Amino acid sequence: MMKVQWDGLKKRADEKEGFSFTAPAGEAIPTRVGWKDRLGESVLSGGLPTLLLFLSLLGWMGSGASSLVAVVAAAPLLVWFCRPLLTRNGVAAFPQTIAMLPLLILLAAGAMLLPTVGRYQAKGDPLHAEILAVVFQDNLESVLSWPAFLWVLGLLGGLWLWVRRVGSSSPWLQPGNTSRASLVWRVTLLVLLSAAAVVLHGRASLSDREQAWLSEQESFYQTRPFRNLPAQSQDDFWRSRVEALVQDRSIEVPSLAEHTPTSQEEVEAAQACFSRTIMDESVAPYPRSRALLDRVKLHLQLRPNGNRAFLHRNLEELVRLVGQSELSVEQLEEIRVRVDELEDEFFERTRELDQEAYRHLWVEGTKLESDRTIGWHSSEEILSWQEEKKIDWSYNGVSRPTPLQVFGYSLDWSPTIWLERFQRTELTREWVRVRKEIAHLSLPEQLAALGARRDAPGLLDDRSHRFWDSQLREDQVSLERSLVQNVRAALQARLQEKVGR
Amino acid sequence: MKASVANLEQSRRQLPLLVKQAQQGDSNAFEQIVQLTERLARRIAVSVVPESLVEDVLQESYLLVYRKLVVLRKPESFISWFSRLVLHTSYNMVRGRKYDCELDQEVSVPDQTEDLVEQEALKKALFQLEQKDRNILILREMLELSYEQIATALRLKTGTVRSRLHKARKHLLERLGAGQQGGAN
Repeated sequence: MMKVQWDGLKKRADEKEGFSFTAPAGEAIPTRVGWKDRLGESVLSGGLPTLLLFLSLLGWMGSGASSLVAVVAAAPLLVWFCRPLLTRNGVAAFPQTIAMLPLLILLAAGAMLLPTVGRYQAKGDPLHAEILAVVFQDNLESVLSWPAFLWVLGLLGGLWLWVRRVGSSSPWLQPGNTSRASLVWRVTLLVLLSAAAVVLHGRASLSDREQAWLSEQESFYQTRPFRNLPAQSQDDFWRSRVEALVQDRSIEVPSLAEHTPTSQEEVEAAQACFSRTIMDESVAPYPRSRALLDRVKLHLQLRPNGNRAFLHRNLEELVRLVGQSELSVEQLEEIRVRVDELEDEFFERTRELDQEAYRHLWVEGTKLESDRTIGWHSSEEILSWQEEKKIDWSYNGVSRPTPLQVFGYSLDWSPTIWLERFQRTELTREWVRVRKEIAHLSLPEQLAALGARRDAPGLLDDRSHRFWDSQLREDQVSLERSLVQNVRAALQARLQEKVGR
Repeated sequence: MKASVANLEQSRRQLPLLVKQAQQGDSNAFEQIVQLTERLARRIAVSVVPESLVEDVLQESYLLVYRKLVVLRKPESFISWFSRLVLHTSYNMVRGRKYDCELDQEVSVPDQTEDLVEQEALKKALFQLEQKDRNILILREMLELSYEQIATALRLKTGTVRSRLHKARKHLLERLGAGQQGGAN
């Protein structure tokens, strides 16, 4: 083993002693740290680089005075929390910063919710979780684009060089290392944030019992006629009838029993055929009655227990039609048979509410229009969506979730998608619990219980409000059955009149 | 050897208080700091610069300490901080100069003792090492600093100090071996 002459070298260095330091004339030992050194310390400790990085990220996410206020409010916490991610022992931790960049972007996007929260608080407008999700997603997308990302990478490179230069040119600087207590706080905060994320993620999944309820509803829903049709098909039976009807009003519209629609397009075409026949005053009462019954049957097979206004309007019309003198006894008998069949399409109340809950949360809930932003909308805007509404300003509290746009690619996951799924799951969970509570109640008591949930103090027109409102309106079993009874009574009267039965 | 370690230990005990006093403008305390740390500074300087520049390194280093001592937040880490400053000043002193071991030729002539020749071989091997290897060896072998002190001085993690020191020793032995083979040839 080769012997290294360290002792000899030390001895040689120690031989000469008696150095006398000459302090510069008139220069005392400084007792205060200069501003340049303070600045250098903040660079090496990561404080200033972290602040610049966040300013840059936040700059991509928003601009204006309110954003500036958010930056000023959130910056100290962000800098405190993330400072060790940028430098360690006065050395820039570039790979570590790159690895933690997703966390930094998430924190910056979260901080930039502050202007939105402040604006809504100042105006007193309802602040939905959806609004925060939309803003959060916008914030993320604004940074997850190539120009912003390259800018941030360039900035990180610049910061790295800056820290390195300050560190090498000012060896006397002692960056404030992260204290143990401060580290504990940081780790605690990170653990709390992660735990909250895990808990929320867990709550976005249904339990076995809830999943069983959902599967049962889904399978029943799918067994309903026309539920599970493809959007399009080769078959154009009903579409060709619509075209024929438009060109020649005198053609006879076939019955639903003659040809079952094979696609959603065909269902719509069949509905158009029946509606056109129903509205045409020149068509004889019998074909009109038949078209009306087919239209109502189709409607009931598309939606559990149907829409009250629709059923009311059409069954009232049927009562009027069966009163027409042109109808023969045979035709009246046939109508009576079909009215009896119609009653079979209604569900019992529990099934109706379950199916409505399933339809609202898991079928229709995903089909919101994207242009309906959350907030107040003028009457002109609302009329463009729903012509039948004659209202003034109205509040829209739910918007359609959109995929996350990352570097030009569309991801299946996004904050708005997650929130929508989370809310649907929460409402499903609540409904599975509530349905048991109200099962033994009378109809008025059930309606009161559902109404109390709808009118619970909360936010205007949010997803929860819409759900309970929808459930509350599903009190139609008895009402629609009474409408059918009206039709049956009218038929009975006409038959008695005709044949004395 | 034992005496020098004892001196270093003594310095370590006295320094924090003296540093605090000097930070408040006490020039007598500063003079004592100079006396207690001169040996440390010389050991670093001798390992980095030719002996003719050692006094200059000391003057420049203590001037820097004089002006920047107030920045030091933890007086107990003075030795690490001071070592970093002396290393920095030493490298600044030889930067731009074509310095190799031949600058100390006056002590490496063939008629010198075997120890001196070995010391010169060590200095030459040290100069041929990368700066990061050289620094860690100087702080550990010449100053006998602990891993924690070296970590603070070089702004490294303690674990990195251990692994880097192991590699630096290996590289030094390789250089020394190569030097001996060259000398034999």
